[in-house]
Amino acid sequence: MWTYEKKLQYPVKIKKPDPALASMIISQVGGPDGELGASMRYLHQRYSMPYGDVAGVLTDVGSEELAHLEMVAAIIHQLTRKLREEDIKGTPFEPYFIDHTTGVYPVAASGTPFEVKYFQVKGDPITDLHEDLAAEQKARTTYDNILRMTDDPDVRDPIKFLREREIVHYQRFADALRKVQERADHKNIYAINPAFDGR
Amino acid sequence: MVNKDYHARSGMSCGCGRSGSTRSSQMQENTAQRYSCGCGGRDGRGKAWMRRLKMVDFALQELVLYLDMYPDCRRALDKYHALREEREKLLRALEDSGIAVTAMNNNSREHWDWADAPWPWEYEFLGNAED
Repeated sequence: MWTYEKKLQYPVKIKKPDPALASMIISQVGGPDGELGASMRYLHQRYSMPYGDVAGVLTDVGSEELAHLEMVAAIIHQLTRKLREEDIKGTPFEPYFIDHTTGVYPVAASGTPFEVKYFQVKGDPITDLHEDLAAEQKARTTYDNILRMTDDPDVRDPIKFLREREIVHYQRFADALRKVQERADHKNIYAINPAFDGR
Repeated sequence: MVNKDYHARSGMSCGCGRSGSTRSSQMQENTAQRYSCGCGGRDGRGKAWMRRLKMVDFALQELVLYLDMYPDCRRALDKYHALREEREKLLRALEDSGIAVTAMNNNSREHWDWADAPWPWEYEFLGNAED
């Protein structure tokens, strides 16, 4: 069960609208390495995680990703505030505007709507945690790419916070993978899938 | 491994057969102390409190939706405050008996027990008990 807290995890206050930048950052809402996919990945992987502590880190990181989704959505919302038609015409934001006006819709920077295919639940703790580690690095690279695209400190500050969180999550998943491997047969850590054979 | 060692050393298992993340059956022997395995808390009333909390929270959820649409309804607002008070008491009681409902309301002092009790999707979770 979840409840909502009426606050952002980290403040977002962007003075200068920039629709072109919004059409890039939208990828962290609904793109292949975005926050929606991240949250859904971890929250769905929990059920086949046979270790309570690792299921816990998936629950808590998956919940934090929803807070990040809200932060990125806030960035998009503020970057597209008070736009006039002439602010949009001729910018890369044009096609998005036609489909969604200035609403926040989960879509990649390249225009593809959110796909569940962006994540997997393999039902094997070692396999799933390897995906999670890669996912955190891919999100980190995306934030690095976004940081190359803007000098606006109002945007860079929350993006840098989100980038840092990817690194922290990567470290916690690395701890989780180590714990899972320590609990396996050391002669062959792939001897069984503890989510299926260990029941 | 860490959790298993902790439980083996401290004997903090309550006898429900679930000692946390490792699900070791050796913990079943120790029933003297009731603790974070999720079956009822230190004084064994956790199950009843959790059941009541679920009722109160569902009623609050309904009131929240209703009040979103009818913000001036005094009757709903009074009911909301009465249940909110009960919810706080229940959360405190659960917390004091070693059952954390959120990671931010965890009473652990020596060992972080957030992950020790069964998760809500598991058959063994105390809130899923029929009785």
